[in-house]
Amino acid sequence: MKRFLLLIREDLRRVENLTEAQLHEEIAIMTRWVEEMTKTGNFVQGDPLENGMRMATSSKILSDGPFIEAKEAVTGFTIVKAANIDQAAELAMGCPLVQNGQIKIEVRPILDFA
Amino acid sequence: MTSTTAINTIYKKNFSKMVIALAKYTGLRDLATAEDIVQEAFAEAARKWDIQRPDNPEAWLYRVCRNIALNKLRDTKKFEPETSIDEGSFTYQVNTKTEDDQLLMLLACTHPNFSPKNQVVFALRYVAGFRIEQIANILGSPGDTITKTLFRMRETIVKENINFETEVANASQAQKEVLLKIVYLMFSEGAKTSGGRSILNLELCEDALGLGLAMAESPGLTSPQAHALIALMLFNLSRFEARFDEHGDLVELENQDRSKWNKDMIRVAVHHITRAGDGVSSYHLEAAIAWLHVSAPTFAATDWNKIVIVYHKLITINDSPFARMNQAIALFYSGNVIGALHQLKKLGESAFMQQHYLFHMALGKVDSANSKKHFAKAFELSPHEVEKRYIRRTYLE
Repeated sequence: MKRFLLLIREDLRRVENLTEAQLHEEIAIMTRWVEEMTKTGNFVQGDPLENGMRMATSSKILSDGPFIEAKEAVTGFTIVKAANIDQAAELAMGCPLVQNGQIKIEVRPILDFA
Repeated sequence: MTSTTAINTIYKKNFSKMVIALAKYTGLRDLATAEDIVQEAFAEAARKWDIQRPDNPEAWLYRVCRNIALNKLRDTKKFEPETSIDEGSFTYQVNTKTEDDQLLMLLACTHPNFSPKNQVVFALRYVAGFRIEQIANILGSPGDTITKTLFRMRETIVKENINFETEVANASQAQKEVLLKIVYLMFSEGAKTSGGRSILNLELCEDALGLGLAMAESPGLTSPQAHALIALMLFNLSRFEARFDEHGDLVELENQDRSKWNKDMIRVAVHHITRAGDGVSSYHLEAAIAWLHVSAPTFAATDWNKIVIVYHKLITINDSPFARMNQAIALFYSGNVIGALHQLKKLGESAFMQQHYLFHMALGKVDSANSKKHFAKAFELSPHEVEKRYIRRTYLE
């Protein structure tokens, strides 16, 4: 089994406009998705991310700029174990918020030196 | 029996057998065609059986399938030109052993491009023969999602050129492990109590048990793990009825009427445990935990220390937050409250566990000073009506 990083990407404006009830609903959906991957033995770890970002560059630490204005950002991450990248992508497709177009998940293989 | 119930029973029993029989002619890449043909045959049955029910409904369905298939062969040339569906092999035979065919189908979906969840969906549809809306019901997903998943899987079958093995004995070690896992996951879906007492769930558990037994009996597929998995399933099935009271409300292990546990199943399970030997697969360990529960005369007399040790082994080979949570509960009942609390606190560092109602249920038991608060949180987070009702009635009223 190989490890994969799933980067959860979504429209920040959409997230800002969620009502409290919608937010709870989405958290419940994500919890169920992680639960499924836990029961199938694929989930390794993962957490949602808070707002806030700094960019460390050679000259200084940036706290504003085009990346802050970006419409879409990473709002969470998950590490999964999967047989190959297609299986990892199927795990990502198993998330109902991907299926209904609310979020996108970027699937990246983690380099394994072993 | 009305013709609708008759058709439903026959559908569950024969849908997958008929689809597999056809798909063996067309190749798995034409699974969609095979499925359409069988659906069409059942649609015709629904139209005609109200007027006159055939003497041998199964044979009737096989004949209709064959005719539709032959027509399609002429119309669309979907089938290989040299293929003809030979009547001898495509007829309903009462005593045919079809488990091998089902295992071949299951084997086809062990392809690594499918996720375990997809494999379960596929097995529920094409091996166990559940209808889409039943699968949606069992898995708690919209029917549309199930349809799309199956569609994507059929596309992958074409793209990756997946087809039936000629015999199950060709299965690799890795495929055998995936087979066991699919059966295990099917059983777990059936054994969950969150949907309340449901006939669908019981059917699913029996299907999974049947597949496990077929694996264990197949010289090419049998393994100590297969026997351990069968034992695990039987231990769980033995408690099936005792998990709900006469109102359909949940009864936790602690309060279950142990005289209602099915002794015959436990006996057969022990036989399979013996045949499983002392391997250390997660099936062996989970079966050992289940055995420690069913063999205890009372809840209080359960050997919690031993259960803690077995969970420790399970976590070593197959770590999961739920195994750690259950170990914490066993620690608590063994008298190690501080150890249990410490373990739960560490688990609580993950956002996932904080959002999971079972984690707060565990905290409610272990952290007795704040139990009301934890049970209230569990109530808020549980997505299941049956469980919400149980939590409210037992801990919040």
